[in-house]
Amino acid sequence: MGREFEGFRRSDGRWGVRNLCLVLPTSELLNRASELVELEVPEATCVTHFNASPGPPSELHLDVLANFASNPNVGHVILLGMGDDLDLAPALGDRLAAAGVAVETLSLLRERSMLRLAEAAARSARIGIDGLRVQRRQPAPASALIVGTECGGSDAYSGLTANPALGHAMDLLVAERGSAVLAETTELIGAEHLLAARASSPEVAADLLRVVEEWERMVIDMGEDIRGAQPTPGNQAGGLTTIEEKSLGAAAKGGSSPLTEVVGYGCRPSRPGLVVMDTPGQDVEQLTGMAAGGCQLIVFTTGRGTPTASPVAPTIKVATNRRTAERLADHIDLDAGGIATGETTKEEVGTRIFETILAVASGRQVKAEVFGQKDFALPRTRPS
Amino acid sequence: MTAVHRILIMNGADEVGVCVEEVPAETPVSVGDGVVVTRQRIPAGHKVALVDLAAGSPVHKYGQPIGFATADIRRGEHVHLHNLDSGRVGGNRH
Repeated sequence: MGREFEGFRRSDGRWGVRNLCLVLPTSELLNRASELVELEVPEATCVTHFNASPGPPSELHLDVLANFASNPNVGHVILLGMGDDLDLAPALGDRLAAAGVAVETLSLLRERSMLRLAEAAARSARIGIDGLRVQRRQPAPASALIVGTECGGSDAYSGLTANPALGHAMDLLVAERGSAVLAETTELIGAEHLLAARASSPEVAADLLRVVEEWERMVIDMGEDIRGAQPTPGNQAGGLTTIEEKSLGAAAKGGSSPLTEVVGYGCRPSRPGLVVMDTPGQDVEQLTGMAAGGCQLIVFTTGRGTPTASPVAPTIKVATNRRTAERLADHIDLDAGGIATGETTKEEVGTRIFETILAVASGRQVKAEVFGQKDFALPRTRPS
Repeated sequence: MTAVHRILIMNGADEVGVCVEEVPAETPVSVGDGVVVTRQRIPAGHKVALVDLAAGSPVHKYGQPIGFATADIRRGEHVHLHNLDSGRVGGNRH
């Protein structure tokens, strides 16, 4: 008998760990309307864009927005669009409706002011939330979970404490036939040979080596600008010297399972096990890609205390050292620092992370949810 | 001399260890059965050389290559940007 959690069953068979009413502007130009809805209806999950619009609306952005809005944690979607010819909202709404997602599409041109757009969205959000309240959690198998892993604000402890502990938690999840997502392709440079050696087939190994090589070539083509940027100055101050050293520590968070698949940015894994998603290293773009890939939860290890979290996938924060855990207690859920001092082991902390994942999946709030941290960004760059 | 400072060695083949807390200069740290005496102050989370390393030789952590020594490194020295460079992209010097 496998482990279970209490979740929300979706029409496509996936399981949510939250039942959110998502208010999603299709452009950063409408951020303010989304902020106004949040003031009116604090229970709604109102997203704002972190990046300025990355060029004209594209097929990639449509895919990412559609996959993000159909994350299984979302029960109702309200799209805010400009209403002009370039507006992605109508096509996005059609795609979500076709996928069985409850969706409403509102536009600035139709409402004729940001304030009226926000008022209309707030009305819809109240109705949407009333509808969601009647849905109840049901027992779900842990195999339904797709958990994203991320490290941000890394220090030299990341690879010694929190990341290996998270790797152990991901091994426990994969043993339950769940999926663990390892991302940040730039931070696999120098560790890809270890992952490729664990690939479930020669094709998967080739996929991994190809995406890492593409990023490495892009870094080389960018020339001097990137030099000294990886590891970042903050990483360097924390004791990390080279990208290989950072990557070896970063890859530890995927655990030791065979690599079963390599997926593109924001794409859903098709099979259980350890999966690599090809994403940029920028934390918010990575979080968005993993949420779009269907991750219901994310575990984020941090040395310096990065408060970043996904609006739709509860983001569990694990500190790599005790000082950060104590100084930023409002933002950190778990402390892995005791591994460095010998007070605990990566297996003990990893088991605690795994149990926390199941508890949060069943409804326990993480610190970032209590605080209302909601970071979202469309990707600015994508190789291939 | 009693070694009180804790150092982490991820793999028995590694030429560097990580100081768990800041270690002052000329301080003994225990390494397996032996002791390494720091030649400089090593900040918390930073690396110390466990063996003498000639310029150009590969440096390992987690049992894997993390770059090359850019200068002769003596046992007990701080290993960081001034004497270690990436073998891949994103190196600190050309």
